[in-house]
Amino acid sequence: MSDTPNRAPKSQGPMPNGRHRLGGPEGRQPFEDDLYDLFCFLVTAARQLPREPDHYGPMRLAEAACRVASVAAAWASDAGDLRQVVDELMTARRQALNDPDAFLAGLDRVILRCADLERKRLAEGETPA
Amino acid sequence: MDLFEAIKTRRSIRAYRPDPLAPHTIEQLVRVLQNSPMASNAQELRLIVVQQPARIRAVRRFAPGLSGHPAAVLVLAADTELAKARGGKDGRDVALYLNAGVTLAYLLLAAHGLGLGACPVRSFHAAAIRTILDMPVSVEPVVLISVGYPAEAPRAKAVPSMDEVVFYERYAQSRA
Repeated sequence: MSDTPNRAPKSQGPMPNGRHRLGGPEGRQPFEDDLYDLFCFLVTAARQLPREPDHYGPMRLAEAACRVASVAAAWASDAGDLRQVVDELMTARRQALNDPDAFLAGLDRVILRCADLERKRLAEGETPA
Repeated sequence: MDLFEAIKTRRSIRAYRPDPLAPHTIEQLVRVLQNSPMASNAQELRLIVVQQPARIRAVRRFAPGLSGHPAAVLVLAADTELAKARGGKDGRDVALYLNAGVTLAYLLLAAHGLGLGACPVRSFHAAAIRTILDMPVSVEPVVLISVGYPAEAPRAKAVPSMDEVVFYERYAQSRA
């Protein structure tokens, strides 16, 4: 079967670490398995959260965002900015339980960094006057 | 390691090195189950040791509270029918969880004593875990414990002052 653009090749069976061999760029995460991890995580979290402490919701969303960004970073051609964002988000996520204020401040930093990246992208796309 | 030192220094660890656990390390850890105190000596607890990476990954998919990539996941479960038969209604509804809690504490301290990091996890989908591990409906997974060699320093923990939580002779509401 030929591979469609932007899609990982078909699985060739599990590897010792439990992931499935999907091919893709050398040294990068198997794309489909990681997305399936995330899918299960989100559905199970949605089911469990109503019986868990309120602040677990933001924490699970931050965790999901980390996973999304990690998958994206593994497949991006230039993921320097994205990896920095992931690192900051993971740092913030680790503070969710013990220091909720630091967690929220960390989320603010990540959001502002993303906004700043957007501003730079927009500026690069603008035609000089 | 001194017992009181172990109690004082143990913290939940959520990031692990990829090193596998030696069989004798696992053996030492699981033997704790035989020596944990049990109400009514019900002996209703069961421990499933998951070490195959593919199975750990499957468990992790249905356990949002399970962080990092542990070398093993211990599933502390209880045979609810046995708990009822040996401990009555209170045994099934209450004592089972006390027994599991005490055993969990033993396991966490034993892991710490062996130089391992561990973290108890309650956020998981019980029916999904049962399915993955071929557990009968009468056996309830009570808590998962991720275990591995620590890849992070223990985080600081906010603890209440002794005055807030310990009273002598009488409960004192105004102390907090």
